Amino acid sequence: MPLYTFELRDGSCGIADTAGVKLADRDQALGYAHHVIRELLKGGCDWQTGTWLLDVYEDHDERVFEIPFARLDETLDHLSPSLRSIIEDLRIRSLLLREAYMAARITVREARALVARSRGRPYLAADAGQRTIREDDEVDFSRRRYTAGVR
Amino acid sequence: MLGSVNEKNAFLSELSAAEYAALRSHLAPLELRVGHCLHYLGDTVEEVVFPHCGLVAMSMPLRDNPGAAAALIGRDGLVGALGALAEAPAASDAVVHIAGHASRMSASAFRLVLDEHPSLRRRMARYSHGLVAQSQQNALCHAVHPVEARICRWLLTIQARCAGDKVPLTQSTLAQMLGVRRTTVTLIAGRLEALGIIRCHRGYMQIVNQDELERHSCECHAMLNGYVSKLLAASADGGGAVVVTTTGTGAPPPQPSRRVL
Repeated sequence: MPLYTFELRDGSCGIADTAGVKLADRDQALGYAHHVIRELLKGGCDWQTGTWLLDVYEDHDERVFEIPFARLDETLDHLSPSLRSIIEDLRIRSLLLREAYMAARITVREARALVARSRGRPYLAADAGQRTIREDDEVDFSRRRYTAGVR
Repeated sequence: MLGSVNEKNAFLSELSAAEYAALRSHLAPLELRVGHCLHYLGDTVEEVVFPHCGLVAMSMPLRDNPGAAAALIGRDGLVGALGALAEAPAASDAVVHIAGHASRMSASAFRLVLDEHPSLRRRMARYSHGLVAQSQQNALCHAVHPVEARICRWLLTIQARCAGDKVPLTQSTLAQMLGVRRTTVTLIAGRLEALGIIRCHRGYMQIVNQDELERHSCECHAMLNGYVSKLLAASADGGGAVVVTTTGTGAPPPQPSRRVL
């Protein structure tokens, strides 16, 4: 059975569940991911939670689903399909903007650290357990690009 | 009031010397092992267990689902007391989630001692009332509060029953107790870790910032703590009545709790 892992995209660097779960197929993985999203949305969907995305990966490799929380937000059920679609799109754009801002901040911090290191000066080595100067395979933002047509 | 210097169970510790002496001869040591079920739903309750350390969850299983924990009992209480008193089948599974040790006594001996000591019976009734209050609060919390607030609240609750800042539970166990998927707990724990509130390790979680954890927790933790402490204080005062009213004439209604003790 394939192993499905998950990454919550909340506008920060992302939170991964790398342990994952073994499920029979992608349909089961989608159902599981929907359950997780509903659990996270339960008790009220604030503006921030409503913008989140949950990515599902198969065997730590291919991203098979990218599910916007807005798609399962019951508080939008009363809206017309066209209006709902606009709201969902706005929420996704809001998240992508926050991710872009976060990526820019990390890059600026890394650039400063690299310059300081090249000049033999002290630099910020790590922040919140994350290395300031990243390895090549540490962050791959291209992998997180939102693609239209995901479920 | 302390029965024995070695006893750490709060119920036993608060007994008078006479009350404790009545129970003592019936008590035997018991080791609490993780995963051990002290009794299953529907079973006859054969013995009452007084945990000195460790954690027992009163869980309600479902047909195709592990269910969720309705109440937690640690060194603050006793397991199986209501079932033993009522000679009724257990209303839930009693599963050990954190290892420890306990004292146990047979249900029949427990009934006998309580019949002979009305003061002990009153204490028991008060404790049972606290347990019912906890179950009601948990039911409300499960129904209406976001999972992040619930996780924070349960971490605080479990921490209060274990000494120190470490909560010796896996995310999988915590998920089982909350009736949610393990992935949900992992993702929320990751967020809390990124905020510098907790630190996740293999097999346990460490609380780094208690104040922030309380801020992220739902109101249930403070409400239940307040209620139980009033209940215990009334008990220590000699069993005086605990007045629970809903008041507020003229003034705006107190929020969020309207409970005045």
